Amino acid sequence: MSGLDVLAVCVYALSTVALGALFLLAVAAPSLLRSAAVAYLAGQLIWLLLYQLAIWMHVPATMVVWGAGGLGLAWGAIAAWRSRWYALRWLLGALLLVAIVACCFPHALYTVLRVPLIEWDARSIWLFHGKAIWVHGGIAPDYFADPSFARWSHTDYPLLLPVQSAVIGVLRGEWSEMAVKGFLGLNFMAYLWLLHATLVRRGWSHLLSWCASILMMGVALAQYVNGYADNHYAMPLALAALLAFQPNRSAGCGALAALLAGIALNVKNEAFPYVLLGAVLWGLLWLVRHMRGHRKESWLPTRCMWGILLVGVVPFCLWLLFRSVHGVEGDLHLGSRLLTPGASISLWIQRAPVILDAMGRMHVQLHTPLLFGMVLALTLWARVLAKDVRATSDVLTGEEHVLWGGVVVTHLLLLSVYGLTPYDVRWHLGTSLSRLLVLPVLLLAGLGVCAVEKVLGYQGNRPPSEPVGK
Amino acid sequence: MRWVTHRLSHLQTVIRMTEFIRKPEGCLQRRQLVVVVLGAAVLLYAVHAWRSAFELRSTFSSLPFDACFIPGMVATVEFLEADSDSRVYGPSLEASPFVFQRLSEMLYPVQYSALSEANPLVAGDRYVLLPEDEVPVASEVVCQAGVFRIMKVLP
Repeated sequence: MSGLDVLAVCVYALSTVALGALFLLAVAAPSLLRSAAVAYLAGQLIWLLLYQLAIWMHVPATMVVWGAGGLGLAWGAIAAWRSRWYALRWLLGALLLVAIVACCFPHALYTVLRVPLIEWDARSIWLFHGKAIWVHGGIAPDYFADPSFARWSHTDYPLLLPVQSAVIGVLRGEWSEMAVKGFLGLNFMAYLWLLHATLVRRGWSHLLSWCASILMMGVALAQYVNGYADNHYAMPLALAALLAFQPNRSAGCGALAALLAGIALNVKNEAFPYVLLGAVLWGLLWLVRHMRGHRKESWLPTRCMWGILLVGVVPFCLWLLFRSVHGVEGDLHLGSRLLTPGASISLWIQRAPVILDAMGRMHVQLHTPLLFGMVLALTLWARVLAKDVRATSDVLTGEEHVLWGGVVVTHLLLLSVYGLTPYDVRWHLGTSLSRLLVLPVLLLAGLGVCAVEKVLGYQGNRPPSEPVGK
Repeated sequence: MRWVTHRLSHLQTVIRMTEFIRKPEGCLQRRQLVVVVLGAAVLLYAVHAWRSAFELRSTFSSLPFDACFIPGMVATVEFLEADSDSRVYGPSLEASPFVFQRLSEMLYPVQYSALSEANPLVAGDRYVLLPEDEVPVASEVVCQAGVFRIMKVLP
C-alpha cells in the first residue's frame, strides 16, 4: 500500500465511524453500542443505504460519497472536539486493537497491506463488483444486469462489501487493488473488538476475554482479509447469536444483534435463511415469554432496534427490487429445483454420501473434532466434577440449545444446497465447502464459550458475586 | 510393596492438587487454570502467526513478477503465434474461459468480447496487470485472437 492508499483507507474509516456514530445517536443507542467498532459497522450499512438510494434518486454515487463523507467528517471533528475524553478513548482503543493485531495476527496485517487479491471470489466477485460500481459511478444495471458478467461473476450477490471498496475507490480517486481491500482489515478489527466486548459483557475478565477472542478470530483467519465474504457474515451471525440469546440480556444486546444480523444479511445470500430463522426464533421466544407473563424489557424491540433493523433491511429489500426490475438472477435456481420434489429427493439421496464425506474431511481440516472434544470435555467437567456450581444444574442452557440448533441447521442447509446444485457436486464442494463451514465452527466455538462459563461457575453469564478464592 | 505405597502417595498428591476443580471455593483457581491454558494457546498461536507472516513475505518477495503486484503497473503483450483459423486452441480448452474472465477483469470496463476477431489483442498493447492464480502471469495464455504472453512488467 502506498501512502495515498493508507490515507484513503484512513479517511474511509473515519468517515464511516462518524456516519455510524451519527446514526446511533439519532436512534438513541444504549451504552453497549457506543463503541467505534459498532459505529464503524453501522456506518457501513449507511454507505450501502446511500448507494442504494442513489440509484433510485438518480444521484451520482461520487457526489453521495463526498457529500455524506464530508458531512460525517465535519460532524465527527466537532463531536470529537466537544467530547475529547470520548474521542481519546476511541483513539486509544483503536491503537490497542492495532497493537494486538500486529502482535497476534501479523500475517493478516501483511495480507491486507501487501498481498494482492489472488483468490477467485475476491477478484472475480466481490472486489470486481466494487470496481464495476466505481467505474459506473453507482450500482448500474449496465454491469449487474449484463448477462455476460452475470454468468460468472454472480451479479445477484448482495453489495455491502463491493460498496465499501467502491467508496474507498472514490476517496482514493482511482482504482487501486491494494487500497480498495483496506476495509477488510478494518472489519477484522471491528469483529475482534466486538467479540472481546461481548465476552466482557458476559462477565469475562479482560485478560480471559482477549485470549478467547484471539483464538476465536484465528478460525479460518485468512478468509477475513483475503477478500472472501463468508467470514464477514459468519462472524456477525455467531456474535449475534451470543448476544441475542444470552441469559442476562439487556435491550442493547438485541439492538447490537440486529445490527450484526443486518450486516450479515447484506454480505451474502447464505445469511438470509439464518437471519430469517433467528428472527422467527426470537419472535417465538418473545411470544412464549409474553404468554407466560414474563414481560422483561430485554425481549422488546426498542426504538434503537427498530432503527437499526430499518437500516439493515431496507438496503437488502432495495437490492431485491433492483434485481427484480432489471432481471438480475442467481445461478443456483434452488427455488425452481425445490418445486420438483421427486427430482430433488432423488438427487439428495444420490449425492448425500459424497456431501457428508466431504463435510467430514473438511471438518478435520478445520480442526472441528478438536474443538468439539474441548466443548464436550469442558461440559463434562462442569457437569460431573463441579456439581456444586449452580449454573450446571441444567444439562444445556437455552442459549446452548440455540447454538446447537444453529450447528445442525447450518449443516442441513448446506446439505440441501449442495444436494440441489446444478453444478458437478464434487467441484462445487471443492470450491466452497471450506468457507461455508466456518459458521457452524464459529457456533461451536460459541458453545465452547458457554462451556468455559459453566466451568468457571458464571451463573447467568455473571461471575460469582464475591471472589471465592483462598 | 514399597513401590506401590510410594506410587499411591504420589497419586494422593495428584488428587489433592486437582481437588480444586471439584470445590466451589476453587473457582478462582479454575479461572487461573483457564487463563493459563488460553494464554499458552494464544502464545503458540502468535508464534505460528509470525512464522506464517514470514513465509507469506518470502513467497511474495521471491516471485519473479513481484512488481506486478504494485497497482498501476502495466504489461506489454507479445504474440507468439498467429491464430489463422480463428479457433480456440492452446494448452487446455478448459482454461480458456478463465483466461477470458481474467482478461475481462483486467481490462474492465472494456469487455472481453472486445477481444474477438474484430478487435484482437495487438502485440505491444499495454494493459494494467493484475496477479493471476489459475493462470500464472508469466505463462502463456490463450484467447481467440491467438496465443500471447505477457512478457514484461513496466512501471
